[in-house]
Amino acid sequence: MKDSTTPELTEGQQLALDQLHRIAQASQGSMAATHVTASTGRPGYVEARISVGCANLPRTQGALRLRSVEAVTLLIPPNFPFAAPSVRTRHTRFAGAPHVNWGRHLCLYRSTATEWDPADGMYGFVNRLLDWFEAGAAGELDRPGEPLHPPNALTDHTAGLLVIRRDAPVARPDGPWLGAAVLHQVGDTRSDVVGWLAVEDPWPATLEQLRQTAALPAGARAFLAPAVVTTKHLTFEYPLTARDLVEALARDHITSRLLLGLTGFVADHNRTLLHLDGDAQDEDDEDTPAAPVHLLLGTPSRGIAGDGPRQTHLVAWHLPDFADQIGRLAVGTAFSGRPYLAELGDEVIQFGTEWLDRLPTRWMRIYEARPEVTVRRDQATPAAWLRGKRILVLGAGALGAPVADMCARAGAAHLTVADQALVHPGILARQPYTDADIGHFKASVLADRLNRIDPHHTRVEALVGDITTRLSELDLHPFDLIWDCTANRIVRAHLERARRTDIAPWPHLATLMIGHHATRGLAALSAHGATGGGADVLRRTALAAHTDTTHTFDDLIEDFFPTKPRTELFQPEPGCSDATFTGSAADVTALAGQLVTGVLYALADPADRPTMATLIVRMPASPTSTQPAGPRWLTWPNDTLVTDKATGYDVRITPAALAEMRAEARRGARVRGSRVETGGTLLGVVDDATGVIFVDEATGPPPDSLLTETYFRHGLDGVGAHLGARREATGNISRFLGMWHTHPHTAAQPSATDRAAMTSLTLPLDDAPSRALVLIAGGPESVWHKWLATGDGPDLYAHLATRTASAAAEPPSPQLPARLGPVTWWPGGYATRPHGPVPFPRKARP
Amino acid sequence: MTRTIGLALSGGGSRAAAFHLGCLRALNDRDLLDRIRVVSGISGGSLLAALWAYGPPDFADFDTRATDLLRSGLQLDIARQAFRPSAAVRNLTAAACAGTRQLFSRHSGVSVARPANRTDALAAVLTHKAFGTQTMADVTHPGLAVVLTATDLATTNAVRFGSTRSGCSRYGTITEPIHVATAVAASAAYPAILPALERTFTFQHPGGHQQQHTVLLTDGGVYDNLGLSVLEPGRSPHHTQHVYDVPFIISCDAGLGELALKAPHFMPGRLNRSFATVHRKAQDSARSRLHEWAASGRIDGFALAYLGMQDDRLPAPPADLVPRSAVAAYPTNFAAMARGDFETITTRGEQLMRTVLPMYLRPAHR
Repeated sequence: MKDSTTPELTEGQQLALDQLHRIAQASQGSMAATHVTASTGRPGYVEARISVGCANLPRTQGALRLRSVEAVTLLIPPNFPFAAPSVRTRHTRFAGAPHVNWGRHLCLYRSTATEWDPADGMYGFVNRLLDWFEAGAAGELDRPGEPLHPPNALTDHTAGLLVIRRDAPVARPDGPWLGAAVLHQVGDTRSDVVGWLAVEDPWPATLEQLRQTAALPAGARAFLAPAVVTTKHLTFEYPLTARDLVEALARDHITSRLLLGLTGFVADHNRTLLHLDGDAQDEDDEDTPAAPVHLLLGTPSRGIAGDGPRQTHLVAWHLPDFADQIGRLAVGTAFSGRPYLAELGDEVIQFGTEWLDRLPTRWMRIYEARPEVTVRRDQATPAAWLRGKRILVLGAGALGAPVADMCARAGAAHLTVADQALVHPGILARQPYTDADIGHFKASVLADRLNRIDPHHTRVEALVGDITTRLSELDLHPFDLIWDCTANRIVRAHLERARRTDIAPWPHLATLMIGHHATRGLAALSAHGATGGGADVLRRTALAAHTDTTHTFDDLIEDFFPTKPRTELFQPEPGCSDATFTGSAADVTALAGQLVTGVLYALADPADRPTMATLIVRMPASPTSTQPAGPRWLTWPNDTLVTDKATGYDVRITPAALAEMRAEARRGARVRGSRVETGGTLLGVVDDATGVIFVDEATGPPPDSLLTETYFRHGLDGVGAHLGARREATGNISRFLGMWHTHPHTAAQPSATDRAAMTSLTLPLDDAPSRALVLIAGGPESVWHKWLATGDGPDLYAHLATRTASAAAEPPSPQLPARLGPVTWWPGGYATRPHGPVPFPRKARP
Repeated sequence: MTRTIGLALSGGGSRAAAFHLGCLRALNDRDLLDRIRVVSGISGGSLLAALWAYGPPDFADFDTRATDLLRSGLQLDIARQAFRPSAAVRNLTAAACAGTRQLFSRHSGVSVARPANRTDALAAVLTHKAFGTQTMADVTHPGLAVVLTATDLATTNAVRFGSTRSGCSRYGTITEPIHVATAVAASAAYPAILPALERTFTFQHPGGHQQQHTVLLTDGGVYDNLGLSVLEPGRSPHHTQHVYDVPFIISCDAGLGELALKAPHFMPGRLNRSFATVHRKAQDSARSRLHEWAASGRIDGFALAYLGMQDDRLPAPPADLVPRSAVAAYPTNFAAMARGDFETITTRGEQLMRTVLPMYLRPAHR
């Protein structure tokens, strides 16, 4: 290695050169390091020239044309290996190839943060370089599917920032695209590109029209910036001077005359737009531009994938205010169409061109937010479901606030957050509010904050006040999803009733809860079209947890569904706050995130979407304690719905209860013949608040029941014991509810005997309640047979009967049609033989 | 209807067969029989599995036929008659004439080298009274697979007779069609009661070549008396010929649990008791495996109807539950069953299955 100058080397640069030396020694002549100098362009950097033997690389047609030895210059930063070296050629033969920037710079890393390993040092870098040459020789630099590297523009941070939000225009093959970008001035140094106007299009005449075309709110500051898009990829070297740039553009027939004219035309239009509604302009304003001059340059070079059409890559050149003046002058003369001004115009252009030649280029920072070239970081995640949706979040507390935040960040189009509470000091420990918010409505503070996340796309509204009253004023149907994060029984019951009595189906409803120490969370999902709302799904979650034979949900029962109310309540500020749970910001945010992700997974696939489901999540514990089980889903199909005509209540019969009735009816048909009635006990509960009668379970006829073709009498044996056992097993959730019986081959309507029985309401219990559900399953022969054979049907009749006659009154004797002759009486239970033809067995009542 | 359930019917002579008949009645009432993807049988369970799988399509007809067979018993003396040498020769000739030569060929037929034993006789009775010349492929219910398991005493491997294929892991696949009667008899040859069944089959090895091997078939329960191993989730197709991966398993277990205390003093008694102990141990571990599979999420769930279950462990027993004590004394042979015994055992099966199903069935399998 021969040094022409002896640069000051940092420890890292010395390491780099040592490594390079060792690589060269080991390469057996295929790589040589020739020349080390201090960099002239970049102070502190060291340049090392190396040559790479490329003679043996396999070549393909249309690939990068490599010489047998390729010389490149490495630029080694002073803080190597904590910054990656870069590499450039001393020629421009590679200009225009993919991953070659500004003619000379080879792009080896897409992201040094993840791809550059300091431990590998020069070994890794040279490997990468050799890979690059190999791929270049094989024509594989631009593999389909790999994002293309856009030409790098070295930016000047003082020149300002542009955020590109609207897809950019593309030049036609016959000429460049000329026009203006609509800029929304967001701050002193930042403007957003929110629209494009081609010169041939009609341009808005007023600022208000401009705002409308770009969907900007009233009062938004907006102006136009000249923009050109070239037909060809600019393969020139990075232009340090405006002259270089202008010369390069001229090759695409974009002359300085054109640039000046366009700049002036846009500047004129800006004056029209901005001064129309402003103060009367005086003569002094002539020198002050109406808006900053940003010249946007687009080149067709940016692609997401291989050989597809190139997207426009954008850079913006910030021009001095004088460009405004000279441009307008050019428009007033050279482009005026008046022949006597043509000569003057030529002089203006000449002057302007010379002025441009002397300018340095000041490239603005560009942040891309164009849909055509950006990919959302949450794409293909469950949260993608939320994009563009209308969401209602009930509760803006420990769960509601993070949930609303997640919806806003996922790009929901419309978000309503409802809460009546005020921010107070205690909640700052875990809810995303600040000291300044204390005393303000949570919903308003939250909505203000969330509105700032994506004001172009997401609109957030606050709904302050008591949720149960405010909800009745709100049309819920346009929403796509309601998150109930109130953890409030009253809200749940209110929603359940409102949902039941609504004729139109409700949006998806997800009810979120966390446990007393924020170690567990529950999400009860009642999807669009589910028979039950949040209260219903939570009730069946409790039932499932209590009756699970593996005891997997014992912790859940203790936390959420205890059989006895909890005695120790956490009241953080005695006397002035509701009882709440203990838990940190980390706990509640983690639980909220898990629950939201789970629910969105369930909603994402309509084909696989459960109707009712509950997700159970548990927080991790310490490394030494027993780890809690991971997330668990419970799912339920819809119930069978019958309406009790008298009360209007929903009778919701679980598939399990109906399956048991069907099994008993099928058994009856198998053992007793197809026409003998059967029946049994129903377990569940009547909820008068929501107007729902839950039928959880059904059992068959007790052994001392009497079964005939026209009459069913419910026996007593074992009923009390069975009810007791089920009450115990379900944590008292499922209790005696009523009785069911069948009308095989006849209508599911109460017979005269049934009606009489309903008024006296003799129940197989010692402490019989004063009302009970009477459920009759029946239907004409075809319906009945279909039910037994396929499970479709049957016809159902439900009536919540209340005892009106005295309990002591003798139940009416069944009226047996005499024409049937001797009646076969069957016992209930699992008997396989009838009692025999006896007139009427004595009643077996105690 | 998607078939997602695996049904395992345990061993235990006629007691098991009657218990399983009761269980099947409950499954029929619950309309779950059409959901069964595969039925696995051991010994008495093989008998009932075969009666159902190869029997009449209508449940009532099957019920009647199974009832008649169990009530009348598998009378071995009659079988002896059937196996007088002249009768055997007649049978062979008849079979050959009927064009089913391969079925009763030199190798798959009765061994000539040994006098026909009582298990051969059992096979003959089963042929005569239940299955005729039906082979394992002739399943009545479309979409249902059958696996009947026996144990080869020579290699101590399980030999599985299946509706799709038969064989054992050591020798490979049996190329000859197998009589249902042969498979049931082999599976039911409880070592302490019946001698092993000797058969020679042509095995197709996984490598491709064919070779004849003689197997000494005895009760499948020696290997796995609940019939669950064939339903184990995630079995590799490389190691077994039977992979079903059913997400829900219904296990009908006609075992009795704790053995009654008695001191066997004589050799046959001790032998018998040690076999019983082996069976019980195997059964306990099979039951706990079922729990493990469910707990680890390898299956969605299972339902277990267990004849020997302590009555007070049933969470909500029916009021007229046939108590365990009423069925505990019934022996595990194939003798004719008295009406009372038959009814108590079938009713207990039906009651237990109806009671456990709602406790374990998940919505997806209802």
